[in-house]
Amino acid sequence: MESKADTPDAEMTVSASQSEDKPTCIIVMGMAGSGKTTFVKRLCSYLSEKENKSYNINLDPAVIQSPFPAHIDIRDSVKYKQVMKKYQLGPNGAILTSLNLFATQFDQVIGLIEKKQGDFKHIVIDTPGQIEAFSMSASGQVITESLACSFPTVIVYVIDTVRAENPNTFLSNMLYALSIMYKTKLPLVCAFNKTDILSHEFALTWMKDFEEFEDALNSDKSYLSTLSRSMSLVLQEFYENLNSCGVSAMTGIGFDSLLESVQKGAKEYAEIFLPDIKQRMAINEAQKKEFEDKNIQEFESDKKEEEIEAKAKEESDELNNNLESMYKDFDSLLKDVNQ
Amino acid sequence: MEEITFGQFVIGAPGSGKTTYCFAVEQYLTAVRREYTIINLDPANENMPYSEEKIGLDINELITLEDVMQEHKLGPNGGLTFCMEFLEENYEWFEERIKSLGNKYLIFDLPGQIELYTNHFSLRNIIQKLTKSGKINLAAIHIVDGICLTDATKFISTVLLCMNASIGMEMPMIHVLNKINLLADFPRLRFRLNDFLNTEGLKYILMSEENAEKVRLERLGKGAENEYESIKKGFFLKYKGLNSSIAEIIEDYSSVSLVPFDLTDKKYMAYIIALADKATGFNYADRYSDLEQRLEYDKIIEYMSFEAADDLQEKYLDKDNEDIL
Repeated sequence: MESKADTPDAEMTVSASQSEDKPTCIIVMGMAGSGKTTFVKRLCSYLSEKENKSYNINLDPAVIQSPFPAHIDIRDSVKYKQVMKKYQLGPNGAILTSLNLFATQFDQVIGLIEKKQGDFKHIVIDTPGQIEAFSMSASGQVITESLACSFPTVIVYVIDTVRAENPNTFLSNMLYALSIMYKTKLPLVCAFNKTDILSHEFALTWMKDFEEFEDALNSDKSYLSTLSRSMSLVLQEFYENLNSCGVSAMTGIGFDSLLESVQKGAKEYAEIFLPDIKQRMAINEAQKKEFEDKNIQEFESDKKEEEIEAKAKEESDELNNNLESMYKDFDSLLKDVNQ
Repeated sequence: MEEITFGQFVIGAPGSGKTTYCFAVEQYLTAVRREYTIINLDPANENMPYSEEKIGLDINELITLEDVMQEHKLGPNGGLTFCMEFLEENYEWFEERIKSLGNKYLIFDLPGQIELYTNHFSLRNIIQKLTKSGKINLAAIHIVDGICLTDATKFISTVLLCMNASIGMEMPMIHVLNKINLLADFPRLRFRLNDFLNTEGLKYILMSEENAEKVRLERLGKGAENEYESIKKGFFLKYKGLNSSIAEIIEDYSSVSLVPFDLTDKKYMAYIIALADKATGFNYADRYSDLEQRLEYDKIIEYMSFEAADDLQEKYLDKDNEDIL
């Protein structure tokens, strides 16, 4: 059965040249401690010095003080502490729920950006400190896809260069960057941060000369002291296509080359990701609808706190009760398990 | 002579179903009369379903996330890593407490944030010290959300995460593909579950996606916008080499093999327990209760490794007259 996205549709086609007029969206991701927030601050001030100010969006609901001037801030529409209290959530759950709430309104955000898009060349997005809350969640996906369907979008993955000197940590970061690239299907730039403390030369060496990296791993006496051939192949393929640069969010060095990498990424977007846009838009619409159906009921109704708390407890109690009763009787377990 | 203590430690991102899985393990072990203790090392674990008296140790006795966040003005992530570092600093206390629990089967509920296995070493160090010095054999269980099956690239992303967890903890893991039963509510998957779980199958999936992409691009090229004539590649085609080298990894590293799981079917719980016991050597420890001995774990492993994927495909994933995702 042919899906809608396969039929040529002049209205829905987004031409490559059209995307040149649109601002480039930079989604900044990084693990806790990578210096992501300082990086975003530096990026915003760099861009405003170099060209027009960028349009900035903060998606971190738990940050206490936003270090950069945000045009749109998730904290304006979602109060993190209140969410924790109202839905009886711990810090993780509250971040996810806050993002969920915001994602249901994200079309409005796109609308706001589109109104002003002539005024700026870049959109800078700061994501939650807890990286999985964004990179691996449904709300993060909806938000990322909405942006990618409207603007050339590049992911900048910030790495703590100092920690990455440990070959295991380096490997982990590369694998994580790869998994983000596959999840989002967007061009990715690796920004090795904190180069004021430690140069990222070793990283470039490891990416160019694979044997050097394996030597470093060996001397570390780690579990993977010899990378399998297939693992080596994976990484080498990845490095060939990877845009990376060294920066210091503290001192500001390296941001020229970062911008170059971002521009390369935007070009990649136009050449490789854009043709797939129609299909992605169709999928995004379907996902958004499903996401909204799931979440909007919860949030739009003016349920009392006790009601919400009771419902959540009821649902989890039901699941647990089902599990308990499932295993109550050994004989039925024996029967079900032994074929 | 000191007897070995066995157990499993469970990691998984928030939302993967990690704690529910631990609760299911609890129910199962109760049913088969295997003595166990729960150890909660996740300071952010809300609403734990475990029975109070079964919790042998809770990190909240040592340090709470709330206190840390308040005292040191940290966000939830920074707070969590601080808690782990603090636990590492107090390792002696931790090891003593664990040892005092005797020889019961240990179930560790660990936090799931990826930083804890990549950029930070506290958790890895704690587990390694415990297993090296304490005569404790633990199986590593990693819970992932089966929703990744709805998309080939999402699946690859998940495989990479599994690799990452395994490398980070420096040990082979059983990666549990959870919530398969919930996929019944989704449109039909483009590919069979079995295809995802081995190299040949995954290569087939990638090839199908490449071909589908080629077709889409050709159609675009024929449309009004002839800019696309010069665009020969899409994501699958550009990363063709990378895709297939990742597919190879599944076979190269048995540590990245994924085990499909259905929480509502006892066979699957038995399967995971059997695998974990095999990994730790518990199956040779002569500690099975009379009841548990009647379960034929070897046969279960054999049967399930062949049949599980097809069984789940039939039960939840095959649909009639449904739109393909």
